[in-house]
Amino acid sequence: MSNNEHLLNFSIPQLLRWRVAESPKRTALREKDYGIWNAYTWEEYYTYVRKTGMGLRALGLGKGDTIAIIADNIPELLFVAIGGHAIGAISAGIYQTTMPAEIAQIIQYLKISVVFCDNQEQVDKVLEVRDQIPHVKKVIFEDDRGMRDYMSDDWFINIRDLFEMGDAAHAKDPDLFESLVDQGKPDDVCHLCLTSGTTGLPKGTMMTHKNYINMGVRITQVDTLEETDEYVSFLPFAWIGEQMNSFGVAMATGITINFPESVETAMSDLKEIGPHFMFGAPRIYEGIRSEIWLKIDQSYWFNKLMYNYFIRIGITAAGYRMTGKSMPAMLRFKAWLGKQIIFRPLVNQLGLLRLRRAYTGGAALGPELFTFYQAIGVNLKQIYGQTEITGIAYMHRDGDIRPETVGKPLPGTECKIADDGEILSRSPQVQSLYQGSRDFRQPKGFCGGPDQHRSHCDGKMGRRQRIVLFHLHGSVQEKRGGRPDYGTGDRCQFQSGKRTFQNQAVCAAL
Amino acid sequence: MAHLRVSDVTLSFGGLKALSHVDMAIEPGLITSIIGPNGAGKTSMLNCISGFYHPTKGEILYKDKDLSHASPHQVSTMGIARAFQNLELFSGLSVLDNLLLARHQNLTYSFLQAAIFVGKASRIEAENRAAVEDVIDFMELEPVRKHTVGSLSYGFQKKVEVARALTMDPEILLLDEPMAGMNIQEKEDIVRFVMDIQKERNITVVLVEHDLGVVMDISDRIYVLDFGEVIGSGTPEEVANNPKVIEAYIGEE
Repeated sequence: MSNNEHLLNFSIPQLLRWRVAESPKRTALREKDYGIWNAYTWEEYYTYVRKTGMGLRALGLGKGDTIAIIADNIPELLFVAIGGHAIGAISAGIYQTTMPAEIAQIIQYLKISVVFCDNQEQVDKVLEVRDQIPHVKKVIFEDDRGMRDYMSDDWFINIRDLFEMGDAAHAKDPDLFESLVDQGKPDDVCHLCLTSGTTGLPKGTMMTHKNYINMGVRITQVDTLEETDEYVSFLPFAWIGEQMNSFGVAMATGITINFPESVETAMSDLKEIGPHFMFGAPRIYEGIRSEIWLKIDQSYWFNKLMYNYFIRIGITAAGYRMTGKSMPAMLRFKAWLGKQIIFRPLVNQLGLLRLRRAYTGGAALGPELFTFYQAIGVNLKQIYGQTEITGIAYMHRDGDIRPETVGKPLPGTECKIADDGEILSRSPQVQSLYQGSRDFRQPKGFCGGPDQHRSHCDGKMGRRQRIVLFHLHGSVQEKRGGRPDYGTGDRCQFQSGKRTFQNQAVCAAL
Repeated sequence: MAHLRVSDVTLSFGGLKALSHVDMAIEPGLITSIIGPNGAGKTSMLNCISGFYHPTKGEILYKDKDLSHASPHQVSTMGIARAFQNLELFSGLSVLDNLLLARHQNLTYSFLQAAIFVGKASRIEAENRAAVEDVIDFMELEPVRKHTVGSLSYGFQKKVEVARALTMDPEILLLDEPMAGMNIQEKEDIVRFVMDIQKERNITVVLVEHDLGVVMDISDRIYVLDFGEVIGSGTPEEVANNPKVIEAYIGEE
């Protein structure tokens, strides 16, 4: 779908309802359970969201109340989040590895009313700090394993009982849910996303429906996705990247989200799904490359010979491809041959054959990894952004993958470099309001790099050392009307080098 | 009412008495542990219950049926499954195949039905796979489902061994030193599974174990064997304060 601007007028639950009207029987979610992939259609997805939403309402939740989610990636997590959004409540993700004391702090800070946990492990952590969080009305759990001894306590509720409560409430007043969904506005706050907290306690960024949907719409303007595309959800939900995909991209494009059986099986489940795009932190790509190297090393001599010959050709060809230059005919032929006899089968073994684009973000990835992946035919691209800009602001374009840069701004994103060298970005995705405090608000709707908020020096030096400079192409004065340090849209671009440019020079932290 | 009653069981190998006049009552829904020094007759006791040995004297009653002369396969069809101390798995087969094999008793279709593989045969296979997947989920074996058992770590193999016994849907599970040779973390893992087996699946557990700390923590009843005789029994506290038991473990003062 080329023009999906109208989606920006929806809230997330409204967009889900629109999806149901468009393609009720198409698969929206898929979860591997007991060794089998079970599908939820968009219609079922919405039904579960309704059950959960009405159930949460029956628990006494209403507009502005907050729900914390501490869970591995399972469909129920989306039901709880979007069910909450539908009744005007606000979701918040907490990392599964968070320790009890910190969970208590976050729950106090975000004024959480209900906590959703996936299993006993998370429930136990919440239970440990129960006396510090009196405002938590209920703890919802999904996996009842080990929960037998807790059932006498009505602080806990099984999500299946919540569904039943929701159904009962819906039967009593069948029009209520739809009217609640109608009340949602794109500019309402729907999720509190914790910032990384490397410069202090994490802050809860108040994300709106529009932030996420705009993200989904903009990213697909650069890299289109089909309704039939598959995505595997294995990043932590508390991270903006996963929310961006499950709230924004999936809703805006209608792709299918696949949930692995468990955290440990994510990579083998990825193989079974064969996603069309994936999103990961650098360690995932480093892990896959190590696995390839290991397997090649264990292979017999002929395989090694072929691999070593063609990987060199692949890397040379990748150099041309990444910069968009045209290859000499002979190299093109050899690269094609290598792809057919080595790299296609190899990539197929990894489950990445259908992959059109792989994104890396969250930290810096070595340039040789970009070249390696491009050489074996995986289109790996860097993205860059912050929580406050709903994940992504800058992205490599196909045919312009310069590993030392983070790509160009997404459509509708402006960028500006502050006097002290910090990258400032502005777009409709920017949300610089934080829960409980307005002190951090950025001027003019700009959002800074990860080391913003008056804390340029404390504890963030590791990141700031990787400074990348960029300058504006063409005649800046002419195009920008005398604002040399300011670029918009596709016109500015990051390049490596020292900070030697004159007044066009601006710099960025990765 | 005891689930399984062992009365006056004596097992002799020639002149050696592996067990003499042993009485035990395994209550339903509890974890009963059998402890004792090396050579005390713990594994012999399990072997008698599971039908590998037949007691020279005495009887083993399970639901009013005498097991003392039953063969292992008869015992297993009656709902008593055993996880072995030395792993008894097919190391060349995958975890999934090992577990499916353990359900061979449930494969009730005929050769002809299997050849055609529609209707009954495929339905039964699907049911068995579902039962196996339930155990895989319970024992958290998803990451190794399709790996051959031989390629797994010892700790994982032990888990597969317990899973194999669970796959048979037993009422009583005999665990022969499930924690032997494991590090602390793996032990804690198995302890959690043993407790979940009792609580979540309502299976009566009979545990033979060397690690006294674990036994004292999780058992409801303990029997202490020494030289083939029961020298003490009762709750963990009772056993820990029993002078005979202290003597057998620590020696005379």
